[in-house]
Amino acid sequence: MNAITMQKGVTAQKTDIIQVKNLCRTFKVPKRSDSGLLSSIKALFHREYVTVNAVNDISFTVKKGEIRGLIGPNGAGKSTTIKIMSGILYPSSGEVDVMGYKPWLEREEYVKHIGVLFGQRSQLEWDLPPIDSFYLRKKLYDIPDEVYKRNIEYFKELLDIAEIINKPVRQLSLGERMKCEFVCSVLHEPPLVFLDEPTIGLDVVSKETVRGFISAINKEKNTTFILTTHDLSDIENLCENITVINNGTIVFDDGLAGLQEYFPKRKVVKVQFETPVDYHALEPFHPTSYNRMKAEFEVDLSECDVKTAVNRMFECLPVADINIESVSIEEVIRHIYTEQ
Amino acid sequence: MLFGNVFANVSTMSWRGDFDRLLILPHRPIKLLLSSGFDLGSIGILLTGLCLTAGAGIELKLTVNALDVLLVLAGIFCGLLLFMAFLIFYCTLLIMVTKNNRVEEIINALFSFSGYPMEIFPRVMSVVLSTVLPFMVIAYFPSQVLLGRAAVSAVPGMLVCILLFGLSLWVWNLKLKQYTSVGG
Repeated sequence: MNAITMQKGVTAQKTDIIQVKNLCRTFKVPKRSDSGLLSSIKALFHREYVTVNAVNDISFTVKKGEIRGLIGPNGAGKSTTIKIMSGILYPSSGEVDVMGYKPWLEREEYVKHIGVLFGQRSQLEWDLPPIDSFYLRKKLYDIPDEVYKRNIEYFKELLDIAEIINKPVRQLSLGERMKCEFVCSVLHEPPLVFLDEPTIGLDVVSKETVRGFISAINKEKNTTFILTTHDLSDIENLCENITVINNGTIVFDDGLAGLQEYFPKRKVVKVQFETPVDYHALEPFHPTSYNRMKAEFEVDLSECDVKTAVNRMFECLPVADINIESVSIEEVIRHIYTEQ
Repeated sequence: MLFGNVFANVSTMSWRGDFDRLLILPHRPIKLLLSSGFDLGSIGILLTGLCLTAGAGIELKLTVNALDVLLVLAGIFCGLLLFMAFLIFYCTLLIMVTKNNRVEEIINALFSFSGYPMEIFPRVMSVVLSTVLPFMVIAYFPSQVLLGRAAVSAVPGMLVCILLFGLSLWVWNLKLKQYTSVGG
């Protein structure tokens, strides 16, 4: 669907907020064949370079109000793609249209309409309380007083940070800091937010809080989120659509359901036994994981239907409990990472 | 006082990869970098300098008119432009090479020339320090104005300060397009 653009920064509901076409980014990286002092001295006089295609001809679109997962193995090109879309880097070639802006060309005007959270880099002032950092951002983004006060009260309640926003950042735990980082990224009410590994290093409870926050903002303000993460629980709990990048190219770009049904002809059968079972008894079924009280099997539906396979297990093994599932997302992602 | 912390801030920011966070704010990154250099601790040096200047003026029974004040302020302003130009060149270099503390020492050594009267230098050096690298506009020229010895020869130096400032901004914007960030 084409974007119905009334003015830059404003697009109609359910239209494309991001359009990426044939995006490429290459880096010229110094190459050192050996380590050590001699190699360093040699590099002073004769430097060799290698060209790295960090992003290699990728194209995708994101709809307004979506929570898009952007995942891939380390070094796949996810952060480079995010940095191009947020205006930090220039691309080598290709086109990017975000809310009608070319991010790297109209950066100062464009970034007023986006929020960015880098999970591994802080936007808070280390020695100051978060409330001071929020006030600084109020000035930087020209946030009106009533909007600022309303948002602060809203986030204080939503994230339960009333007690911590007046303590210096260096005294806060990682989870508390991350909550304040989120406030920084959405305080100016941007329609689009980039989250680069927002739950890294957080405990289970903090992750739940962060996910609840993202979900609430998405529902209440129709904010679009682009989320890069290595935690697949974030993907499963938040994202409607997933884009998988590997070696600079897109290898999967579809809904979460598509990922869950990536192997439609394969089912995973998880069995718990009444009594310990030796491995040789399970060999005919080719278990994918095993301990003496439980095992997992994969059933290829093109060779044998689930009912037949399960009946055979009941006949041959002391089954106490049985679960039949689709191939897990972790397995699908692992397959995509390694096969592409 | 205005830009004293820029060297340390930019060096740390570049080395740790924190420069990205300036690029996601709706202001020119060079403006944010320069304003991050404000050092309130140097107010003592500023006040000391003002007191010494005022004391010397009283001792020498100097009389200044509005034009003299204007020329002094112009000299100080151009000196600031020159210092900012060097800072911007330094910031540009750091986003290319990530870390280089020695350049800071070179810049500080160059600016130390501004603390000496031009007469002590050989002729060639005097010409260089009043035109090509016009450090004389920072302190020497304003002091000459206060002593009633304003010279037209300072004007080219002032113009060079403005040109250098413009050139530094142009180079900065050019190199910013080639910024590669850090990994992750």
